[in-house]
Amino acid sequence: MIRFVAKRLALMPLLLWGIVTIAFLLSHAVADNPLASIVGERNLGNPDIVRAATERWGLDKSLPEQYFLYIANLLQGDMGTSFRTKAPVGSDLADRLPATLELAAMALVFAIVIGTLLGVLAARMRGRIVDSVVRVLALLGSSLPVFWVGLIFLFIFYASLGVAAGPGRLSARVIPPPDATGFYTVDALLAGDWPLFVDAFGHLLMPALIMSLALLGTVIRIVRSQMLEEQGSDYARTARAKGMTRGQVLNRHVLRNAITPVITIVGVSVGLLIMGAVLIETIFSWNGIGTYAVESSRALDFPAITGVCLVGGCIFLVANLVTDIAYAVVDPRVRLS
Amino acid sequence: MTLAAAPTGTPAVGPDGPGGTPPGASVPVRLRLRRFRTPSIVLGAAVVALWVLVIAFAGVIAPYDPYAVAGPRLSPPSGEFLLGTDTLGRDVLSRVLHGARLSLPIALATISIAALVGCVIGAVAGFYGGIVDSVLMRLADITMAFPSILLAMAVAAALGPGLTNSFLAIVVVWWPIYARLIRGQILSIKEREYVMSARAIGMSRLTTLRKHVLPHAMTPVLVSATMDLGMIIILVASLSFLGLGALPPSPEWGAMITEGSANFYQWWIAAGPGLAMVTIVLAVNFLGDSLRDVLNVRTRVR
Amino acid sequence: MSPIPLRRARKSRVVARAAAAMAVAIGLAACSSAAPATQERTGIILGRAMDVTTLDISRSLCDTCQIYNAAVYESLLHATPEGELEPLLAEKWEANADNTQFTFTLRADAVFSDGSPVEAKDVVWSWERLKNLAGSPSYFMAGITKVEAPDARTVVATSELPNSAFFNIVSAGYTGIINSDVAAENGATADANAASSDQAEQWFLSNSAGSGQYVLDSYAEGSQLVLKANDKYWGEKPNFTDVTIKEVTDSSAQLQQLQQGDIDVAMQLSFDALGQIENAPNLTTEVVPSPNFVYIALSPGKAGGEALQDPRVREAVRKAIDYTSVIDATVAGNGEKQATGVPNGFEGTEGLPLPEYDPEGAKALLAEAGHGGGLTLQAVFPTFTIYGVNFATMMQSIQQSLGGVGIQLDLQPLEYQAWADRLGEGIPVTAVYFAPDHPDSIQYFQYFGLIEGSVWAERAGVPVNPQQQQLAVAALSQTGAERTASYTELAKLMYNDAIILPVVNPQYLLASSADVTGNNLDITRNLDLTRIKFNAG
Repeated sequence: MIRFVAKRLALMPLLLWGIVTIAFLLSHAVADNPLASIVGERNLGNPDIVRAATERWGLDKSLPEQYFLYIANLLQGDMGTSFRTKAPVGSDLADRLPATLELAAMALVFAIVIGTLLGVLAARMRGRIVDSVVRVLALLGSSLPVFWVGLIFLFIFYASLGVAAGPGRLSARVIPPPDATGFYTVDALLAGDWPLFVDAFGHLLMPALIMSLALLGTVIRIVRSQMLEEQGSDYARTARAKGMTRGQVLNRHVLRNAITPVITIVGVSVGLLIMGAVLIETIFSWNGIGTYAVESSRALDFPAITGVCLVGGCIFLVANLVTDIAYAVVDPRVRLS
Repeated sequence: MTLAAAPTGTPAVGPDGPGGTPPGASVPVRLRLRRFRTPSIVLGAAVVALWVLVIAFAGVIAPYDPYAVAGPRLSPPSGEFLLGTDTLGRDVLSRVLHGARLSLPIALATISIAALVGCVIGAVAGFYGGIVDSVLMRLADITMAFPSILLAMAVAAALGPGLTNSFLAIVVVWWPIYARLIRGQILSIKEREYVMSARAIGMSRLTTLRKHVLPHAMTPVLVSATMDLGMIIILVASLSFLGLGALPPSPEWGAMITEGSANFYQWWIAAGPGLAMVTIVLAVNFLGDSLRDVLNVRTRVR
Repeated sequence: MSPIPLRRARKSRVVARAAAAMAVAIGLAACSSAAPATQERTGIILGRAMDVTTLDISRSLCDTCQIYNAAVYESLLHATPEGELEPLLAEKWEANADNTQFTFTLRADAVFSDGSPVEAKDVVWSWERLKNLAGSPSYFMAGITKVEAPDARTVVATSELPNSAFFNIVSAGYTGIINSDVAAENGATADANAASSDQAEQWFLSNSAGSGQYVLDSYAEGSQLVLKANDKYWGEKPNFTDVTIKEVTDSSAQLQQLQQGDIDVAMQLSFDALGQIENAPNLTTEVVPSPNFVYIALSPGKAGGEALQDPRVREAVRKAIDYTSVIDATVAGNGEKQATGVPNGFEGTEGLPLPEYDPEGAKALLAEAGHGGGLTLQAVFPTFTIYGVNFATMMQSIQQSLGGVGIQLDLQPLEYQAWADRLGEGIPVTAVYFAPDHPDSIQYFQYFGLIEGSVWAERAGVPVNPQQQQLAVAALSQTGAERTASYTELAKLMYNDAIILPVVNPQYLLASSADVTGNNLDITRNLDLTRIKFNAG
């Protein structure tokens, strides 16, 4: 176990270095140069201004030089300065990360709760209409383009019916809670501000629900098949034989074992969640890493693009590692190698 | 490996992947096909077939020219324009029908090329092992650790917008999935008796790979590809939605939804292409899901 | 079918518990959307897509920057909606006889937000920095060789060549005055090498140092820009305690949020939204003329534009555009045609011919020029929506009408930055917009005309026209009717060049909640915060 973790941790820098290098090369391979965001399109024809800006932003150096400079700075924790926002990429990302994590965490919770419910339901009603309906729902979840659902939901529930909160993390005239975790819901609770919590939660609800759709199918499938498998297992039969009702067996033994594999969802779904974040945040004006990624790649903002990829890769790797470990801890049958 | 522990506690693809039947086992074709006649496969296949017909006959079915102004702009759905008209006054229905000619073939091409590239790399890695395997698999790890949409966005940004480029971007993102799948298959099959004996009777490595290993390893790839097809359709549309895919005036569904999002209250502009996408993706996913059940393939959890 | 088990109700306990949790969650959400805004309305929220890439006034050039710069900083002069100049930080201004030296007298009572007086040295420092930073707005100081402060209240600027437009130019917000002591303490410099040695850009993201009605409270990129009233303001009290510019990226989102009361003013509504809100009792809308325009630019001198070297082909393109259809498709008919790169109503535009859709004429011209069999041109354009005009929609509409005369337009939309970079290489056909910086027509000739230093002469790859060059120089040493005549002559020559083909001069849709009055579109300030306010009571 410890050897496994050590091996994975040792491999991580290599993978991150690979990610940084690919991101760096890709962003710098762009045929166009990013000066327009620095000097404005009007001045691109003015050689003096272009020279001044190129020097100031270090774009006059050769690609290998820029690369080694970037890596050297990165090792000191400096991810460079964004061409677009003119702020350090590190602080830009730190400002936006909590928004995305809050959304993703909520989506994960929704996916697991709703998915487990439906999965259990389907397993209990195996072979009946309900089972089929749940299966169709599961497939539907991964068949819906999130950006389209986001639009339609906003149109129906916010603009037409007015029952859901609109885009953004808080209502217009609401002041964000004092910054502790960056999660508005948590910070609001820490500040003891109930209405603020309700507001933040309300804004979280619709985007998180839509984001969870993509994961729902997977959770349902796992829970359902695990339930069926466990139900037929020896211990379940023994428990039944000892006089427990079927419901008791299900609730006390089977369910617990059946939802264990759901933990793995956390790791596997990180990629999906990041993809969802990019699209959902765009639609819901959610100022997180996703919108930052979109805006940065539009502006050819090299340091920001590389930074986003690095952070995305980190999250992915850490989540996978944590999942594997957690899984091994929960289910002793798993041997990590 | 990054994903050392597979979600179910067993390797992503079980050693008995393709139903445990060794290749070449003689089961009558009719019987072999019968197991595919489940309601969900039939339903999925029917919807897909319907869309294939649409693709073939879009020019005949579509009531108007998808590129020409057909009526007043932004008219809501009516008898004349079943799905309304867009900002220029083009018929949304005609554009949706013609859009199928883009979305489906592109997704198919993407998944085929990605699977092909992935299989070749995975087969090489799995069969030769050693340093080749390590290098290729670390490359796959890095690519997979890259959030796919970010990588696709970076590639598309580097190449410029256009459907060809978004196709390339997705291939770059998607190959490692197949590389791993096929590598795992090969590693497990390599040790089986019939492969060992083929080697023993002097068959070369390549011939063994081609004749005995690959055919056996293909079933999970096919199932996985079917299941990914829907996702690719959505990913292509997503890139177009973000402005990295189709160029105007092409009636690509993602691009049409972008136009609809700018004209939010004219909901029909986005509703048509979105619904079209949902029906086809759902049908494809139905197919993939049922095929997996029927063929008893344990694919990776997505 | 197996009989339904009797214990079914009990078995679903887990399910029921979780379902209850969901119900609570959904209930919470419903509460939240019903919660009314309770704050007093002393702060206004403006919804717009922010194009801010910096908050350093001397590096900024964008529509949102116009609002911010004018709110937080002050220029020496102010242009009224009628285009007249009135005092702001300067109470008196005069030029010498040949328009090469400009003397300003500052008012005595103006102070910065830290209470220190606005002095001539601040003006000298701000303008020198503006020039030396070599940033986006440096061209405002083009030709200015010297700025001096003979005493604390007098500023003298010297221009290399006559420049009768200088007073108009310094009414632009970008020439606003910075508190030089404070800024210098935080890394700003006005030295000749400021372009590389100035370190203050990041400081300006969270601080302001001006004498305007507001100070910067906070800026979160991609989310909002918050200003609060400057309690040391030397003049009339500001209309709001705070002003929030909220990032709302597109027209439809702005419309939703305006309807829901999340924003007070929607600044970039498309005209297709007008129908939704025209009769809403809680909203106010007004359509006003604007000095902005969107144009097609042809680059005969660049690769791919060879066919356009024949003036008949350029004229054919002008005649082949179905203006009515394009104006209808982009701004639902709420726009005017415009002759050339000077907006309707500006000095020098009187009597100019407006373009007419004439497909037969276009075909004849093309045939004459040897392109009877058709012609293919590449059009690369930025993918954005500005002044209500969605460029993708506009270009598709133009593609259709040009197709009608045999000109095939290949469309390639690019993100703004990539497009801007491509402009340097040259694009045969592109689409751009222009909004004035100040009320003087000279900005258009210097930008669009075939004169030295003109942006478009360079981009289109067309040599300087000596006649235009001479007229432009002459105009700047003239005033009054004489200058108007030169401007008119220049505009006619520009029309004949057919390099810049305006497609639409869109009107502007002012949309706000009904308790807002004085909503406006201002030439130098975009939205003048001194004119907009909440209804009393």
